[in-house]
Amino acid sequence: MSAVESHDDQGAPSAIEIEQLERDGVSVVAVAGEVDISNVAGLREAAFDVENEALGIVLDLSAASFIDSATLSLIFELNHDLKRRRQGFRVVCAPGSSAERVLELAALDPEARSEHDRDAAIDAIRHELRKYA
Amino acid sequence: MATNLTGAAPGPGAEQPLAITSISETLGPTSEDVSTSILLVDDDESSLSALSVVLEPLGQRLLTARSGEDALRALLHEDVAVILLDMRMPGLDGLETAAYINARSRTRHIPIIFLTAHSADVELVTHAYASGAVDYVVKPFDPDVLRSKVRVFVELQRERSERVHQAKARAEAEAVASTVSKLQSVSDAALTHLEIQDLLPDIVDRATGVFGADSGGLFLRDDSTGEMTLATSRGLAPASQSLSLSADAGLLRSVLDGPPLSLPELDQSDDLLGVLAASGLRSLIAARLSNGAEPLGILFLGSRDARRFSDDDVTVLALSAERAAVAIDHARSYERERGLVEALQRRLLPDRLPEAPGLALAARYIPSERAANVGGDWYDVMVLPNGHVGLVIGDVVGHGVAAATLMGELRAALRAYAVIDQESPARVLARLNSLVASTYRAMVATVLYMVLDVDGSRLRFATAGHLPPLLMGADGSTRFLERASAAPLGASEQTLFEDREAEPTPGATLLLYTDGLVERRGESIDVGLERLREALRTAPAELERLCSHILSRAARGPSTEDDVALLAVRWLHEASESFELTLPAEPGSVPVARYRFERWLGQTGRPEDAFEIKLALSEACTNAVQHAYGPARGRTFRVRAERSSDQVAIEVSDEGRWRQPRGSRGGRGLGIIKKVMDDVDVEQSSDGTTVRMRRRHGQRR
Repeated sequence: MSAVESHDDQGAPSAIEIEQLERDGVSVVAVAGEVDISNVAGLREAAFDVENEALGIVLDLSAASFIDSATLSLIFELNHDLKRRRQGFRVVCAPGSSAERVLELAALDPEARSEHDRDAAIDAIRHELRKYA
Repeated sequence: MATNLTGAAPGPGAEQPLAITSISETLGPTSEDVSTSILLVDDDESSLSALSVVLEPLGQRLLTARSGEDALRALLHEDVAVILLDMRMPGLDGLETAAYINARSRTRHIPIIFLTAHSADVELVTHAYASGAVDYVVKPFDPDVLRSKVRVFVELQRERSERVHQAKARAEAEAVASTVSKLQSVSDAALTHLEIQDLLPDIVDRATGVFGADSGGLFLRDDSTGEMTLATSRGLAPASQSLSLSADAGLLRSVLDGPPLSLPELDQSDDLLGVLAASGLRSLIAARLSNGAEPLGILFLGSRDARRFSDDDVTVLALSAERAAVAIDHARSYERERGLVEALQRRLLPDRLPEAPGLALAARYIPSERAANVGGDWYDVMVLPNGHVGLVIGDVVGHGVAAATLMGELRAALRAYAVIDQESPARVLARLNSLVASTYRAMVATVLYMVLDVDGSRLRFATAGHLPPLLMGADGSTRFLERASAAPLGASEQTLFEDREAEPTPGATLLLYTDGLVERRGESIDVGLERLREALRTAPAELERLCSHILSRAARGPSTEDDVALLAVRWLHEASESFELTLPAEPGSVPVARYRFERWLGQTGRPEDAFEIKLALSEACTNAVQHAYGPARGRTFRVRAERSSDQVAIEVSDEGRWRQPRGSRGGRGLGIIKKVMDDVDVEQSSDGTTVRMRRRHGQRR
């Protein structure tokens, strides 16, 4: 068990599925599966591929079965970047999920606070931006 | 002949020749009958003869009548190009006869040439024109003049008939083409969908489309309650969309029983019409969905504006509804059969797996999405009297009720033989093969039967044409056990079965599966087997999740063509309290380390303990991969772990030197580790960096 694994036997990076859609002017990026350093790049690409006109981004982690600091770093970057661009940002995770636990551990900025469902997150962004308008 | 007029015939001066009109409506000329007959009417026989002689050279059929009444009777059946009509006759005279001819729509267009012997009558011709005459000739007539006048009318009539004929033919052809394409469109729905929930909306969409209706729907009758439910609709207000009505009375009943219905303006006294009107409809046509047997329901089309659907629309809707009924009937029996086979199949599979000491078990059965393919796959797990554990996976060739039933019999028979011979899977399969070959004609099944020793040290198995089981060691190495196999059950009574052996190690995972999991049309089976191997290698440790992962990865496709059965077995650890793994320092190693570690960790502590330990491990590995070496390749990192009843200790070490984290980002992983683990220590030296951490179960953090 201590032998170095051959490259072939490493197994594929954990598979994730990313879904992008637009709802009520808000860009939604949802990811399913285990997100870590081996695959976070795909998620980053999807998240930063947001239209300038979009009111904001909802990052939906409801179907993410594992996240770690790779995803947290992405969340912090997104929050910073979108704030600068005056776009809204919310993270969605299932109540009691491991993703929620990781967000708690990271003491996520309350302004990017997580919601428990996608519709609530979209409404929150729309509400928040109406305030500015 | 003059005396033969029916009593219903009107006398002179009658304003409306009702009897004649009504008969004529039903006896319209056929379009093929392009007649150019000439009708000669005179009470004087010699005049008729003279006229006949003069007109014969025209080559047309000459009809003669001796009175006005006689002429009218002839006109009931004959299509005539021109009438030569004597002014003075007993009974109906020429003017009266002309008035009747002019009053009938069918004969109004026929030109009339009056014949008169008296120049004094010429003033009457003014009246004659009013009665529909076009010309007159004074007797004795000039034969050439008469012949040429008549010829003009004959030519006119022939031309007119041809035009009418052509126009009718064109209109008919267009109507037929349009009807056929409307019907075809509705029938096509049946070809496109087999599942009823897709079929119904498509029928309504197509019907509203081809009739240019803005709304429509389909009521289906529930045979047990007699209620009609709006199964699908389009363009109706939401209020009506969950509509259920009794089919015993009212409009629904009359459409169910009778001919199609057209209502240009909905009245609201009827239950159904009230609801439909409330949802915005003003006009509708409806026809029953009947395919000869008891009607299934009603198809209707509506308009939110007042609209008079044409008679053709109603007829074509009725025909469309007939086609739709055939399609719905077909889809229903398809669903019934699918439901029946699936229920049977599930009843024949174990409702739960037994508890087997030292083993974790999980199984799945996914029926084919194509109803015709459901049935025949099975799995089974039994604890034998001597404590050995029997594992079975099999597939009866064929589908449907027959395959599912045979599967049930085979499963029972194999269980019986397994108890009789608890040591040799080959002998069990040999007995089963004799049974199948001697009892079931033309039945073939593949089976894999395995027996695990009670202490978990030995695995014996035999195969009858089944795909090889896939074994993964605790270290993640995978192999298919023994690709060679005896013939399927039922292929020959002489088949020889052999026992094979394998030695599972603690933490190993074994997959038994049916061909639906790995076979895809147009692809070599080897590609499917490699995909399965890859799916197992990247699967999460926990068995239920492992099964889901394998089903989604290996069987991924637009639909499950065939049934899939899957049985997963894990040999649980007893001794192994330590874990060690060395991997290349690459991002792709992080999930590999996490999965292997997770498999080793198993059910340690509470679920949240397991998750947070795994999180810390992932972070430590990420740091090793990300920060230790920079772009250099070919380096490795090592994970070691030990557990006892109350804690797990982990050490992740690399041979590189961690760069100083930049900003807050790099330190985030270590921050998480410190939050979820106890006693975290990072030791950096010239030989490399080692992170040591410990988690005590039940500790408050």
